[in-house]
Amino acid sequence: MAVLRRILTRLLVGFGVLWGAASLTFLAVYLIPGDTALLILGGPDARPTAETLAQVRADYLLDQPFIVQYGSYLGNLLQGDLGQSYRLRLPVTEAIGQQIGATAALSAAAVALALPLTFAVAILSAQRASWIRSIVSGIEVVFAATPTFIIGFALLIVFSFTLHWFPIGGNQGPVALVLPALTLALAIFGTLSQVLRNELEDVLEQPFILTARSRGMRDLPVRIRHALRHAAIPVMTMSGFVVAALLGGSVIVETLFSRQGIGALTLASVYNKDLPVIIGIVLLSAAVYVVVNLVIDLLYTLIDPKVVTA
Amino acid sequence: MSSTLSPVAPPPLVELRNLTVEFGRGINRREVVRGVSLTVRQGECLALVGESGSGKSVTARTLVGLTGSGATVHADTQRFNGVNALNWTERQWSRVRGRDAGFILQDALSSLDSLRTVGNEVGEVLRLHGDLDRARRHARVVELLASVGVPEPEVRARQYPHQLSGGLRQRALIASAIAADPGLLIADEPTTALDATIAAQVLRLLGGLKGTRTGVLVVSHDLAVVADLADRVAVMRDGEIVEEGSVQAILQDPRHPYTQGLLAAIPSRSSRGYRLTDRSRPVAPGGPSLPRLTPAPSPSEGIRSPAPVSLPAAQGTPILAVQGIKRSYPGPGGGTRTAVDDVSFTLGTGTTLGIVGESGSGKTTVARIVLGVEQADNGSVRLHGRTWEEHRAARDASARRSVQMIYQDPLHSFDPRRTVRQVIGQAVAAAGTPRRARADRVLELLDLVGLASDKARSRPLDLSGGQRQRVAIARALAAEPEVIICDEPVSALDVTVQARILDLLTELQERFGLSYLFISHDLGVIQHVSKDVLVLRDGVVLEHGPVDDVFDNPRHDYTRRLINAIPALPALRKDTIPS
Amino acid sequence: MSLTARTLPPAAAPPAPTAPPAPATPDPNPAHRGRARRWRVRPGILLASAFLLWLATAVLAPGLLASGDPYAVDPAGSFQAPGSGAWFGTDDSGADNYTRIVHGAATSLYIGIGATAIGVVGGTAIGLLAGLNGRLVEASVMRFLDVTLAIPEILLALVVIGIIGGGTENAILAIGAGSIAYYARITRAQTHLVRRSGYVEAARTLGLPAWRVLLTHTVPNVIKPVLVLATIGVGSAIGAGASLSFLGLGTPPPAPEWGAMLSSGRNFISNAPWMITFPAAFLVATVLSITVIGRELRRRAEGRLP
Repeated sequence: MAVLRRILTRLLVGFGVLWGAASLTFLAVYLIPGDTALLILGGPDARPTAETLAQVRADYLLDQPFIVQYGSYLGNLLQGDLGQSYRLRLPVTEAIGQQIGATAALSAAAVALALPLTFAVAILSAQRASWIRSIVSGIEVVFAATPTFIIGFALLIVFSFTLHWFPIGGNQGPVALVLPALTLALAIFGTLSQVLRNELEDVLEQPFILTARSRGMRDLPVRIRHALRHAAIPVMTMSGFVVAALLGGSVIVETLFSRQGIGALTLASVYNKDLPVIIGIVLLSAAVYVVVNLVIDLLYTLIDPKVVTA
Repeated sequence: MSSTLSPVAPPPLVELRNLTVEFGRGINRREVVRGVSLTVRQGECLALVGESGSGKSVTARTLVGLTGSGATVHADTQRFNGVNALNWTERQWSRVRGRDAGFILQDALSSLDSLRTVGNEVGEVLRLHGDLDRARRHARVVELLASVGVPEPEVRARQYPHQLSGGLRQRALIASAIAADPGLLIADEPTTALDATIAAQVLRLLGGLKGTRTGVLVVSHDLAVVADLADRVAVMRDGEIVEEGSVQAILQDPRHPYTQGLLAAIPSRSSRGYRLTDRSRPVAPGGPSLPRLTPAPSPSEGIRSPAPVSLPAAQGTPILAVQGIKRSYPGPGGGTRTAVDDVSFTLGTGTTLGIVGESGSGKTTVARIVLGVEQADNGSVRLHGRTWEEHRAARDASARRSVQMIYQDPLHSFDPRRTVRQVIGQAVAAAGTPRRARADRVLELLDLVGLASDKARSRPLDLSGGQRQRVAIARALAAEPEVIICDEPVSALDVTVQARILDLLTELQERFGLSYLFISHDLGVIQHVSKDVLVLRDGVVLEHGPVDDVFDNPRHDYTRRLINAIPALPALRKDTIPS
Repeated sequence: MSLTARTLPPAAAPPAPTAPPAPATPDPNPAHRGRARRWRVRPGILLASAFLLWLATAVLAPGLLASGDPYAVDPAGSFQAPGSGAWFGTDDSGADNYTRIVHGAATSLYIGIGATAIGVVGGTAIGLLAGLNGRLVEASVMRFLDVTLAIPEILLALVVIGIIGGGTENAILAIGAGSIAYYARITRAQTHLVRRSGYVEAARTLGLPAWRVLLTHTVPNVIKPVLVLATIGVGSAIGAGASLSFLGLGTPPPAPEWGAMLSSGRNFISNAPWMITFPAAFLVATVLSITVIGRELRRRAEGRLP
């Protein structure tokens, strides 16, 4: 019952976030200086006539007051209509739909690499001899602080140009996915592992860990059966960061490795001021964020009894 | 260590000779245990008593190979059930832990895994050391919980630690320690986090576990707690055992000056009127109940009395009147929880009113309402006949300053960016001291609370607990108060440090005619410092009257239980107090 | 753009329950006690400080380190490998790689500090507004921040650039705007901690007026940890600026900016890899040095907190 109410509130909050994101981007686009009709027609270079400009303004309700434009925008949104891309002459949903598969595959592969790596490193290195911790924490800092495209460059130079193990880019097959996914995974690992390891170090000093050891439990089982669940809770809270890392990182990685996907679409839309697509991608990222947090919230109720019973 | 057992007796459960434990290396190397030898036999209870940093916990943990990371352990002999345990591997230790030695830590809330059910936690020992299947394990867990006095063990086994009360949690922790029926039980401060009445019950339970085959090692900072339980006591200080002997010998005829000081430092009814650090010196002839007309002249020149307004007034004139205050908070599930319900009292000039209560009794809420940082829903707090609102309306800053507070954890009441000089200096400035006189005044105050002047440059974080509390007292004095609210001011301190702080508070009261509202869970402390006492439970005043009346003739059953829960130190006080 | 290594601040601690009547349990292992307080100079910190010294020189007096002209073009000497003629080689237009790296330091730091300043000023203002006012203001500000949190910082920056266009100043604005929500959340959480702290209460019981408590206790104790985190933020903002330039949205070529150099070097990665490795190495060294120093500052600051 409490869980159900929790889910419902979260859903409501999630809708609020989506509505907020939609309104915010709409407001930003509305307030920018510049002629939207001109943008729709392909920018100043297109040299449209006065009539076509007026026609476009009427079609897109640009001559109407703000509240009318906003109302029609929200109404379309509720029907799943995100508008037309200025550049591709396609519905935005279609433009995003074409690209989402590639980015989803990239993200899934990155997460599948990052999580096991993070957990293994953190479990094995937490509270070990100080030289081990120094080395691991050094590696983490390097991966967390280094800009993603530099990690990608390093992987490219070593594995593609020197060892010729992987192609330098493209969307062809799983082999082409390895380096881009590894790039994202390493960046996620750097940050996540810092958090998980620090958390584990704290948890391992808790009295209940001493109690577990005093029962005769060996070190690794203590880490996995007792410490890990406690340490995983704050890490789960960071899932928002992971989502951001994946979406933001895809812009970099897809550019660097010449891949198709949402990231490449974002960049092309930013170059061309293709505002409907940009808004669509913002909404997509907000939706992903909301869904992921909802899932995480459900996981909390499984891990932490206090959420349910307190 | 002399042995009185016959040669055919079974080997001791544990035997340790000349144990040394060091942490860190190089310049960070610190020796925390030095040359400790101890033995625990079947059927006996040895108590390791010492203040923080004495090495008692480290010693206890070393007995089961859990000294901690970064520790270097040396010993001439370490035997476990007669078997040489020197240089045991982690694997060898893990076979013994839980099965042959059970470990009970303080504060079961953090000593039980909060994400697992109580049943899982208790059953873990059985899973690791037994061959019972799941169903039989569960049945055994329920049996164990019942045996340590947990009601409805079936239900409790399925609950999580945070759903149990503190006492039940501690019982569950004990159940997990005895699950595999170990010969040795090690209890590290087993009752420290508990309220007095609950602690007494847990101690009785532990006493019952000391069977013919089971030996107990109990570690505590509190001599009184172990007095009932232990057969022998070893007193530790700075990593060494300074004195060891039977309970009677240690309590009644302590040889080592440290043990003597430790015993004398325990505040109680009979210590009232005397200094805890030196019982031969009464605080004042006849104790603090003697009426005083003027503040005592201070030995260091130029210190103004912090109690200017109402003096000269007879001691006992009401300065603070609290009438029917009530405070409730929104409770879980939409209801309200009444923290304070119709509390009334008056505080007389130069006297101490003790407020006793266990956790959740509302004593801190009362303090905050009196201090004026929290509003009462009903009722009034009057200082010199005026409420806080009236003082505020009258823009009377000196009234605001005339009530000050000392906290259990003073560190949190100091701005972390400030040095001791700045902390006290702020209060000195707020009291209207002219700018050029402030620096001298800070030094005077430091001297008054017994801190060297070079401490002015330190940050409170770098001071010890006792020194921090002295800084807090100095700051309170700087405001020139009439009333100081002391909220558990010595609860976090070791007993000898507690004694010095209590002596300081008594001395300052003497000199400046201060009135204290003294909040504590410790009845000994309350009996030592108070003239009157108020017993709070669930926000309601159960008893209110002169401290001896309340303790001799408790009207309420709860008070009686509280008094019975005071650990008795047999025939101790009369011996240590010189007549 | 770098996946900025920002962890959310811990939620403001719930009001402390009535203190249990227990002596504080000392950590039995003295090696752990005061761990955060001991100030040891570690080799990583020395290395980072040394590099930052070099960086400061490159920013303030680039001529001391490289006397040449970063814009000097020499088509005949293009694609020279690192060697005696050009330490770090030359690029496709024959410009000296080393000279360009030295002169690019200023732009990187300009972006990093500028963007962080925007984020910190905007964020602390919003965070203090939320933390010091009533529930209604706080709730609405926090919901607004929730929305911005749902959009990754990089996407936020790209949206800003999509609207206002690229270039160095616009990149600063975009990165700074993207980080406002982060600083606002830390500020608000910290404000709550400080407002509830014992020292604010103690100052009030001394009779100090509310505005003085606010100015002498609350605000400084809120701002200090935010500023410490901001040093780490400068590092990630530099990374973000380079990332935007790499995407062609930040500082445009031929300006000697590290991200832009990497962007153009990308086309020659197989025959002139030094066009990538040297700017990349300096970018990483800069971000890492600032991060390492920032973390050390944080470590020390947290040791000071009660």
